[in-house]
Amino acid sequence: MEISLDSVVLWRWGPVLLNATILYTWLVMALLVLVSWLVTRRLSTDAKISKWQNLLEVLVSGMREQIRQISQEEPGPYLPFIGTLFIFISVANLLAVVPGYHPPTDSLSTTAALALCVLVAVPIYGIAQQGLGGYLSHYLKPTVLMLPFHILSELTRTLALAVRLFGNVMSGAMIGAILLAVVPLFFPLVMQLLELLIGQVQAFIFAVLATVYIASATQAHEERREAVLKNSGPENRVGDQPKED
Amino acid sequence: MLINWFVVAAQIVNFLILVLLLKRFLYGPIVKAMAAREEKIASQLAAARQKREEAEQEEASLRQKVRSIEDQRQEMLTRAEEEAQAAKQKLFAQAREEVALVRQKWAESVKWQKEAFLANLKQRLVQEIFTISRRVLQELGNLEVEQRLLEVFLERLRQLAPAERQALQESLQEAGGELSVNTAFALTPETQEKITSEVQDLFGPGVALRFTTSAELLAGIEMLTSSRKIAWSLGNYLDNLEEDLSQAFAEIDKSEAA
Repeated sequence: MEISLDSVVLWRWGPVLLNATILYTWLVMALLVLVSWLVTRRLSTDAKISKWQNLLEVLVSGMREQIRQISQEEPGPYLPFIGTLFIFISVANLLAVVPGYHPPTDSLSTTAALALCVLVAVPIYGIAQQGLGGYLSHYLKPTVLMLPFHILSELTRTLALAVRLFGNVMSGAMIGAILLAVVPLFFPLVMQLLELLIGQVQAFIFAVLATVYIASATQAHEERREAVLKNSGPENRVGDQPKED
Repeated sequence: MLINWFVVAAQIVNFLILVLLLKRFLYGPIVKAMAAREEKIASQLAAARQKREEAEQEEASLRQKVRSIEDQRQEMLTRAEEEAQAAKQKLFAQAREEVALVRQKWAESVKWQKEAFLANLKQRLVQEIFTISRRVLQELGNLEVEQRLLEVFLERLRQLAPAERQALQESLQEAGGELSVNTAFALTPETQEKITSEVQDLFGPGVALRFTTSAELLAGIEMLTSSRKIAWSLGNYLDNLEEDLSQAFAEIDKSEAA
């Protein structure tokens, strides 16, 4: 029983290798892009829309709404990054019901890669929002003494992101495997269902935390938040964020 | 080691590619389509609202029109009814007048016919009675009857009321004492003498009598001064009979009218 998919190497040439993680990632990517392409090449702007378009619209508008609620900002620039995080992790975990498939999020390399993306995206969005000086100045607030702690905080939360996702997904697979050995019937099935749920929750948590980090980096002014709050309607609930797992 | 850094790099690249692909194939089109649909629905709603407003205005104006038509109709109906009522009344009145007129005419015509009939009848009756009486009297009439008539006449003369006698006397004096005696048959000289003596007894000796005959009297006698007449004849009876008959017919008419 392998702990990580990374160890299943299919092809290697020097440092360059193709293992199961990358393969399954490509699979998920291909699936996502294919479905998106198939659905969005015939989009209807009428009142009557296809089921698939309806599904994707619900998904996209749901994500936009979540980003708006959490970040208190217009979701436009954040949607591709955060939405892709959520969709990729969610689908990668969901496909675990397919026999023979292993979620790429089972690999620490994948989760580390996603966490590094968040680590890099946070300053990018911050700088884009308030300029290089504006962004960097918040490392020095309230005093210069806080600089090491800010940097440490960035690094640790990135590590936490990566390990949390990896740990949850991997533990699910492990528990499944162990229970299969101990109680072969029924119970593993229940645990599998639980794993699916956990996978979705993790996808949600990862995306929400990424949003929170980016939002904190952009440091939106109070006035703008209030403006967005007013625009986003009364059903907007700020305290809806889940606690970190 | 759980982390293979090449795989990490590869996954970062994979993820960035996925972000770009999904942005191209998912978020962009979907968001655009949703925005387009929202706009479309908003415009359709606006159009529908406008149409509804137009329809409401149209409805209001139509309602107004219908109401005015209804009012007009009601008015026309009322007017027509009133006119019809008036025409009916007029026609009724006219008809009543005509009926009254016809009835009156009819009544008049009936009355006239009755009168004509009665007059005719009376005339005929009187003629018949005259004819019959005349024939009977002609057949029966002789001096004896004449004698008897004369006696009755003289009896009446004698029993004349004093006022009448007085009047006759005065009339005689006005006529210069001349009195004509008219009879149906020629009187014998004895009879003439008897009458002369009777009259002279009553009115004095100065009275001169002149005797004439007249077939109209049928049977009887009459005494005439210039302004007075004393008579007893069957002609008088017949005249009375004629009067009586007329009176009887009138009474019959009255009872019928009642």
